[in-house]
Amino acid sequence: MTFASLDDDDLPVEGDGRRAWAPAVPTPADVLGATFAADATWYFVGAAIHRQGWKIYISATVETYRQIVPPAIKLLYGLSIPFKYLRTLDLVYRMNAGLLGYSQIGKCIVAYVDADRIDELVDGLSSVLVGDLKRGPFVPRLPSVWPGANVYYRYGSYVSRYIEFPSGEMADDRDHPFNSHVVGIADPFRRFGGGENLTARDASLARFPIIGEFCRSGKGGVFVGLDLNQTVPTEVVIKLGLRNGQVAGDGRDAYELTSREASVYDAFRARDLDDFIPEKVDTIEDEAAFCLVTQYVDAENMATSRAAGEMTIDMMMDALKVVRTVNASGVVIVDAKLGNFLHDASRCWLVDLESAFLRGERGPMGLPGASTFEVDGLSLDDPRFDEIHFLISCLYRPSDDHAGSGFKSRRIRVREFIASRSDGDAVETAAAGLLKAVLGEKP
Amino acid sequence: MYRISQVNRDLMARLRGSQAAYASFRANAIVPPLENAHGEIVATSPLAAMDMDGMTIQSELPITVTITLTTVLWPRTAH
Repeated sequence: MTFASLDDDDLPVEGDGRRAWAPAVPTPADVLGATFAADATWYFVGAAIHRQGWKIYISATVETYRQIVPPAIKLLYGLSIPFKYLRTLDLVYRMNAGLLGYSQIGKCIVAYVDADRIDELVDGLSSVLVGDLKRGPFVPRLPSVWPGANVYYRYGSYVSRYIEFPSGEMADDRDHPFNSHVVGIADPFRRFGGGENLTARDASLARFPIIGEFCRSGKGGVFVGLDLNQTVPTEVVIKLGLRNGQVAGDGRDAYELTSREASVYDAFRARDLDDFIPEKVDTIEDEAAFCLVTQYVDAENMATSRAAGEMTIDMMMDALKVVRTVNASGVVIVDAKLGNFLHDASRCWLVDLESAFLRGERGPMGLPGASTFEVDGLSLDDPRFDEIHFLISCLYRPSDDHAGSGFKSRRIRVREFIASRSDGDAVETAAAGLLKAVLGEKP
Repeated sequence: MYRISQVNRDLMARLRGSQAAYASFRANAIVPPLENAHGEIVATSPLAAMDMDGMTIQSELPITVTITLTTVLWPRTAH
């Protein structure tokens, strides 16, 4: 079923993107014929005897999870290792996006393994997790069991937020793998070559060492680095698109999206649209990520300005002019939201071009939500697409936000949305008027 | 403005204030892994950047991120 084929009345209540990932995750009974417990997030099989110990995390993408679960839990069950795993693909998506917490990214299957079972477990997992089943996001700040594995580990509590040791207890730091050192336990995974991730760094960004960050999530992040090619300290923006992290509905990961974004910068330059975007400085690829290095623009994010009540109608019109000029040059921005514009006292820049495409070429549009824009005939091919998206984002309020709710509540019925802003300030009144005009209605 | 630790803020001030300090930093930075005598938190690979101490997505999510997936149901009636 495609979203374009749906009538309004047929639209699912529980979020559009979930339809594409609806296939059920097999239960322990399906795979093992075993009894199990469950809560809203996890299936549980077995119970740990000890209060603390080693934890194994197997990561997967929304594409690979249903393939990884059966062999992985068969192995764990056969070794009598207690474990839990996520119940739905929507939870996998949300976990990998970081919506369940940054430290939880990639923790799709969790096993509680005694030290005397580690050899058998690692041997089994290295046989099972091959080919596509090696795909999974990194788990932040934890080492992999062996180099390149989508299996991570740490020492921690099974029952609380504290680790006990003979002379007391300490907080169980979920972001830190070295709890075991504190309680005097040797790391049994070192012999598999794991534990290197945190120290063996390939220095692919040695020319642009990172010193700060704008944001970070399961698909990568946007950071600030220093351009050491310059003779004076010069900041640059570095966008990291990770392999196998948060994967779009069509299977593309952030590595692919960021790689494509680099080519969009070139397309802008070819169309004399350079003035609207930061300068592309470099691109760097390594095994983990595609890195797009761009000029650091010392300007304010317009969504931040808007939230602070500091965005003016003139600023909004400047950004709208950028949208219209870019569109007129044959480029569809797609993600033309307010937060992707920067503004200083004199000009406006557009950032985050990973979804943009040239009119006539079909865009990437891997994100599930975007496809529903085609309902009732308005598609990406409609020349009003970016303007409508931009103006809606100008009308968006923090109270509209539903972070952590997956794709639920991300649909907006345009007329109802405009009507709900009847008590808006001058910027909202102007944006609503412009939006009505774009829709062909009397402002 | 981006988020930056105080120690790295101090580092930037030092690099901006002294050509010699900056030259030393550049010379050291090309040797992997980056060894930094002052203990600054500097990542020289993507995964190291992802592992850096700092904010998490929970504290970072502004409305500007979540509207990325905004979808619009077009009214069924023609306008």
